[in-house]
Amino acid sequence: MISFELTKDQKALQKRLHSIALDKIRPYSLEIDAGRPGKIDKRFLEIIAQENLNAFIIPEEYGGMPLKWVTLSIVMEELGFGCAGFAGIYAQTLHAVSTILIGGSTIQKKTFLPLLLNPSGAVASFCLTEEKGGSDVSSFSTTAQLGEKGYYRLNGSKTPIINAGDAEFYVVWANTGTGRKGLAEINAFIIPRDTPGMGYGGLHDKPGLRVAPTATIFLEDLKIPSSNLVGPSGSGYLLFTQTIDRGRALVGSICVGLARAATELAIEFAKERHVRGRPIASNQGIGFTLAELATELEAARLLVWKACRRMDKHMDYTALSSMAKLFASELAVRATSQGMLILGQKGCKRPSLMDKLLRDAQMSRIIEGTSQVQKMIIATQL
Amino acid sequence: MKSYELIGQKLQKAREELGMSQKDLARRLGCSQASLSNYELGKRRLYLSDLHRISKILNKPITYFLESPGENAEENTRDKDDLHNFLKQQFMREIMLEAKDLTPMQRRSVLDYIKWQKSRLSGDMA
Repeated sequence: MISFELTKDQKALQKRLHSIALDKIRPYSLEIDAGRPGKIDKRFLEIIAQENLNAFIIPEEYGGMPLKWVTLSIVMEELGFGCAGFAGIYAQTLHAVSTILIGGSTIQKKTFLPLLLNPSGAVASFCLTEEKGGSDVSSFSTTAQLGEKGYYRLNGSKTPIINAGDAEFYVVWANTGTGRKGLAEINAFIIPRDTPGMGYGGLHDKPGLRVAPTATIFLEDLKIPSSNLVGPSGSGYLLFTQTIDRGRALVGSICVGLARAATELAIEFAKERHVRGRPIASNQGIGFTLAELATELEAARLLVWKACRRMDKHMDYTALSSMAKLFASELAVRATSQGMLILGQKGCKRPSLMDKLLRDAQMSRIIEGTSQVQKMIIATQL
Repeated sequence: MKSYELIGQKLQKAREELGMSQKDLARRLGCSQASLSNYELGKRRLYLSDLHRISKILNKPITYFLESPGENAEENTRDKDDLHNFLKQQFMREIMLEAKDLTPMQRRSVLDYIKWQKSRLSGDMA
């Protein structure tokens, strides 16, 4: 039997995170969004530390708490409600951790995961995409050559990378062969911060998710021991797909939070704004739109929960995870577009929360694979 | 070809080389035959831990399942030549001559017997 009700603990967690999202994350994020691109705001790192957010993604034996994907989806939705960019910073850490949890050795887990429980706040970074081929691993130009005494030398660049320059460690994908053996030559490596040979480009200026700093990382003859290779040699492709398959459902959660923020804002405005003595919410044109958004919001959340529940049960989740991301990110765009229409000129005056939500929603359709990519994945599973 | 279709084809090839049925491999993996069939068709994604177990059962390195088809072209040609030479051997001729007069059902029984012998060799019946 599937329960649609949250447990007492989950409800308490949801309530706590909702307050943080509303009182701390959102006010800071509106300010950061309006400014020039910068490193991760220290206040965000403080929130991560004070609320012990990284403990949700690190298993108990490494200092965290029992990892439950449904519970994590509740965390992500509230963070997405506060600010999708902040949630993006957190999701990036999750991806790096997830890769290590899937394929990493016990030593790697013991060495790197506790770094994220630093009382000053810490993040990690997942470095997959490249300028030319995006996340198409078969066209990676970043190389890792096995050299003297069990060391690899990495050369190349990765872009766009969230948390570049701020992370405690980076999980970087590279081609360890000549390209002849295809996917069997793709591998992932853990690179600690400040490793000689790693450099960062200028921060990118982007339309949405502006609070999540994005830059290029450069690897120049970067020397890393083979003990930092994640999983058996040649397993990089499988590590990447499994990590991203999990991550998509949680990006879906962020989008549910974002869509909820836009819908709630639109409902509040439509009830307060009076025209000819009546709230505009009582006009069918507006009321029906809000009804549709509220319905789709429930559907999107249930899709996310179902995908996460399958992860918790160790069942196949590829298609559902993509469905959750596809549906929720498209809903985020619809909710913010309709929200903008309902708010009218009030939504256009910067700084405006609806304007930020709209720009963040557009970006949410792109990250973790565009909507077309999600459809391609779902189609292969039918 | 899509990546998981390629992995699935390699999985099927490795399984058949050992004369192992889908049912047998699925049992050893602890999954349903339908799930294994979906892995082989590339309709369901294999996760690292699954492929790790499969590689041990089928006695292949993980990289075998991920290598490009072009990388195995030479190996495939060699396999075909080996098969051709094998079929030319005297005892194979005898088997084929004897099998010629058998009914299709009897031939099926012979094939099943050979597969049973192979599964014993691979330790599947243990």
